[in-house]
Amino acid sequence: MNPLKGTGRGVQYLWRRAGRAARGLSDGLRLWARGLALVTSAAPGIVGVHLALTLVASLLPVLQVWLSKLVVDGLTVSISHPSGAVSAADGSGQPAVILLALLYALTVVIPAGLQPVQQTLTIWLKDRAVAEVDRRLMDAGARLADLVRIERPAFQDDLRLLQRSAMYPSQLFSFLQTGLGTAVTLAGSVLLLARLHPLLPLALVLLSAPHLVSEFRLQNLKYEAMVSRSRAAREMNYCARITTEPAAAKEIRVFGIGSFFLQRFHDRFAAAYGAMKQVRLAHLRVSAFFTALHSLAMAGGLWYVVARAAGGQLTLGDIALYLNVVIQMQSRILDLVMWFGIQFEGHQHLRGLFAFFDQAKPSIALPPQRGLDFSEPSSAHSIEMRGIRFRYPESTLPVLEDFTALLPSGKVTALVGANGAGKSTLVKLLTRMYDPDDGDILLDGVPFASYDLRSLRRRIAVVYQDFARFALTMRENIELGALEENGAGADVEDAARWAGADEVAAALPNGYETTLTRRFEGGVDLSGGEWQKVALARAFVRDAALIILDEPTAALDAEAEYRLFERFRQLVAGKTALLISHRFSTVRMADRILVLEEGRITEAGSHAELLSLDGRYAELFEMQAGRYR
Amino acid sequence: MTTSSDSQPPTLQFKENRRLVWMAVRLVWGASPRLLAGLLTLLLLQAILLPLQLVLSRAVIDRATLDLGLLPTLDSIATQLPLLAWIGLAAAALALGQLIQPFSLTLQSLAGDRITGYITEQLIRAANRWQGLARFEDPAFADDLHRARRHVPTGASELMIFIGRAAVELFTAGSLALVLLGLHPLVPILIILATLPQFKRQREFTDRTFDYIYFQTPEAHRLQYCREALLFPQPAKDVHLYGLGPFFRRRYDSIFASTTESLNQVRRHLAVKVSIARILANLASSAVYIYVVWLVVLGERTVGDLVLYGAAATALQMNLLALGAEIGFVPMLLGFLPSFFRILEAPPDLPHRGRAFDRPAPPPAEPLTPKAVTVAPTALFQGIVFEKVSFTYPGRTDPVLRELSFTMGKDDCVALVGRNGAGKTTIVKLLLRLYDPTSGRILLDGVDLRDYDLDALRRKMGAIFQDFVRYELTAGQNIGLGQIDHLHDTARLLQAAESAGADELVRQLPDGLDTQLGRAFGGRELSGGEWQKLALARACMRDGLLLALDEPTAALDAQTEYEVYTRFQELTRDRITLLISHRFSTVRMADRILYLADGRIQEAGSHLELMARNGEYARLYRLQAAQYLDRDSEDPMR
Repeated sequence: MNPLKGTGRGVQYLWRRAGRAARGLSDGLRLWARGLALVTSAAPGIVGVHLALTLVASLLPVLQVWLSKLVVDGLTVSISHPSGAVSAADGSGQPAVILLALLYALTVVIPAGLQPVQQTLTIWLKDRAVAEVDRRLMDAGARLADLVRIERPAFQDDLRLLQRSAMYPSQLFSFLQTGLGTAVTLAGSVLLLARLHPLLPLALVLLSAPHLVSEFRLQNLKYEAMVSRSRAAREMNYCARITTEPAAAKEIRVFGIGSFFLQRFHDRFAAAYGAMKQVRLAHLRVSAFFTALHSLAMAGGLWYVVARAAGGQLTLGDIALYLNVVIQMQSRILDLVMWFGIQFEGHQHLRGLFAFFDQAKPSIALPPQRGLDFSEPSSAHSIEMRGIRFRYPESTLPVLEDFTALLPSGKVTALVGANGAGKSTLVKLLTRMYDPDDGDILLDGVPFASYDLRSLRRRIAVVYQDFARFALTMRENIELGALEENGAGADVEDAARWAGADEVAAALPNGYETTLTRRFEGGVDLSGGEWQKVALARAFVRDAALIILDEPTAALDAEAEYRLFERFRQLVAGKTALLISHRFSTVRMADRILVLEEGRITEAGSHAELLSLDGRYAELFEMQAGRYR
Repeated sequence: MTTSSDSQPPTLQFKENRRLVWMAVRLVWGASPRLLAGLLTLLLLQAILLPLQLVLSRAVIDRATLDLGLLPTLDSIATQLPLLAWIGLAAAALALGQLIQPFSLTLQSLAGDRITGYITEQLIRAANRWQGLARFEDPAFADDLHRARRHVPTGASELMIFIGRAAVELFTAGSLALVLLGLHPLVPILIILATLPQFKRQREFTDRTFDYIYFQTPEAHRLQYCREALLFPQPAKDVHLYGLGPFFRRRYDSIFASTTESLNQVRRHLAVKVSIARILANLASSAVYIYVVWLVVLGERTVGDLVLYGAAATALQMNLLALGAEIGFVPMLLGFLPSFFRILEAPPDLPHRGRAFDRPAPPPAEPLTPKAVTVAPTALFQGIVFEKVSFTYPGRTDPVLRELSFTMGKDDCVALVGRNGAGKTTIVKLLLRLYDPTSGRILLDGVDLRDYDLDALRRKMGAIFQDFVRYELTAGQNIGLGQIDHLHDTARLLQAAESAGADELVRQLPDGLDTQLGRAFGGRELSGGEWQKLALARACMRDGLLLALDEPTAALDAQTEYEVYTRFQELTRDRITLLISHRFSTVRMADRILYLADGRIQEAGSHLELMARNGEYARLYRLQAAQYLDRDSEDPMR
């Protein structure tokens, strides 16, 4: 706190400090401007009215202090001139004082009436701002188009912060109201003090500036403590979640590990609290120091003003003015300092939010202009993968290495391989959720990247292994598969029949209109097998040229699985299909089977061919089939 | 919240709120009594400082007036001390008022931190006390828990701040009123009366309009869901493939529009009413000011009195208004608390029948020592008997199990087969006493499960579920949680990994057993099958008397599945095993197979017996087997 050790170094230090502060300030102002522009775009009219009211409401207290001084002075004059007092006693000689008192009353009454109006406008703006930010967030999320960013572990953290940041712009106007309001009132009061002695306001400003700077710095520290304790905070949150949510309830009870998580929570909290306490106490020391300094200055000022009044150079009204201003200011200066401090965290939020908006672009390569249109139906399409190499951005080991395979048009291809061999990754590549690091995926001989992304995806239907379970009605859950083509016109129930989901709907209280979640009132949750049928129906409702099923029957019973594959051949007739399964009963009915090992295809052919090859496939098949003999 | 307050008579609601405030105060106090005691002291000090500052201001001005010889003294106090002393006292009061603020703010933040941690811990404790699943699977309770966890920790610290602030306002108002009594006894009464309408209006205003649409309401949940659907990683694949951005966007807009429209009308209407009430209140304090000016003009009061009473009247007014606003906020802050207290006060869900020590007739074969009975037996002698067990999930009407009876002998392996929803998983849940049967009983060595000490009983049971948990912890912890007292017993962990076929996986991990897993904390992400191996290893940590396997290999590849089942004999030796699987190749290995449909056992026997019987089991078995064996075998669907 005392940089001035060697004067030269001190000056340099201050210069650098000032430079940094200026840069920080302009950066902050730019963020603020952008934040305000965002909120203003949601409701420009309200913003204008709101600002005008804030200005009026914050100038009135200054006027009030001034008027009260004038009243006191008026009264003193009347006292010091007994003749005046006599005429005042008559009730006629002091119209001016009474008028001033009435004006004073107005400055009290007007802001009182304005306040609810301001409050309503603020709430109003808040709602709109939240919605506006939400809309932009949703647009940004939709713009991402692939999984490169979303699946990165750090994205979880980003998202957590983002959800908090999303609330911040909505508070900008409350901040503007307090910040602007307090600043205007303070400036007015300080100017009033300048009347008493020009150095008074100067002293106040000089004392407040370092306080503001250190407050900003400490808030920075606090924010970093929060971010660094973020790991502890996230672990605390994880412990609380896992013990209080249904997902893990069974295991936690059977294994009796609730207390393990409780202890863990306790430890993490102790650590996080300890760290936070240090920062808060450091903060207290600094603000207590500056507040004490400030108080000293005020006491000096009071002594000066009273002494001058006693000497006749100032009036009694001036003492009253000084006292009023000081009492009024005592909370406001701290308010402004705290407000300033809060802005630091606010800037981090705004920065994070705008960075997300700006950077929400697809990571995959998109065609330069309008890409090839894949939407006109043609009977058969083949997909060829040539020399594909891929590893996830955050990992060091490649998942696919020199992977080459062909999905012949109009045929069912099955892919088998051990857990972790890269099967689900391949599905992500085929739906362009990622681009390969090297190699080409060709659709009818043309590179994937040349097609218009939407028109390409429009013709692909997928049941991912961890498909989405939307908290929507069953009908909507299925309909979403065909939203882009004919939306509500899609034959949901037909698709459901193909997937065996019609039985699921029949058992639900409101049939297809039942909301499939426990999250909302009146909703019902489905079992794993039932959800799988819904996800299948979502894929089937789509008018797709390429169908990909990744472990679609893991949770289905024997009969449902049998029925599904009996129909599957019929369903995919003339389409190109890729089937991923650990069930060789399913795999064997494919036209072509690919065996994936260590990122490469090691065997390929029909079931009969691969059995006669007597290689890995034959071995794996026998492992399952042998147990039925 | 709004709906519930509308439906209750106001007095009842007030009583309920008062009870809640009291409970909340006790709760918050429990979190950090020392911090709060310190905070309270500071707040009280703060409350008397404002009136003190005003009284001292008056003394300064009156004394100065006196020294200037402007006025014969009306007031005796000002004459007691010289001007300099009054200045000193006034300055000290001003300085103290400023200095208190950073201290009380720091205490407030620290207490807030503590409360957040304390309350979350209370919630975890409460949830840990529930021994069964019924509460978790009851949507109302799950919702309470979710809401409480999300809102109560911050809500409680906010409530603390509000109550603290309201207390300061109240005390300040009280002391200001006392000061104003010196002017005229009717003055404080007039000001308080004029504020009353505003109290009521403000309450209405906050109740109705602060209910932001993104706050707590069902619509808010739906809005939030739309946002999450487009941002969260889990649904992202489907969202992008099916191009769902516009869908959720439109949905958001329509929910938002319908919610705000009605809300805004109410807001406008109420704002006008509050505005009028506030103007009325402030007219009163202004009247007092003008009255004092008049008295000074008449020479009945000093200028110091004007400074004192004028400011005191305005300050009292402002204080009461602030108090009104704060009290108006309280019901909103209390909104979260009922769910929290419902959770804390929930009675034990699986009551112990209190018969642990008086055991029914000892088994004829090998009598157990009484000690073994009070907890759980160390070895099974007779086995497990389901006696006419029926079960209906809470809140449903159709039973899942109907008078089901079967026995599992010592060291038996029993498989359950049946369609999705036939009640297989329910049997596992009953056996692990995650639920109690609606009627009938389950006997372990002739003693009802409900008579055993639950912890001891569970310690003897192991299980792996279809929806096993992926703990975002280290690999070693993922395994060791199966037997928490052996969490750090590396040899034991590795042995369990080996029995589950996870030894290879553990060896491949960069830090072996100490590798952090899962995305949330930047650990290594595993595939579904790899996670499942760890879950199996976790179950292997238990050397229990009973092992329940609910679809343990659904996500495993052929090789691993094969490896697990070659170890099957070892896994199931010396214990009762209950197995659920859609894979008949696995089912057939069981000693006994129960085929379930409509909540009853339709067929029971060994694989060979059931095949010979040629019933539904045999049909389903052939259906699946035919897909592996030659196509020209008989078509099982016929």
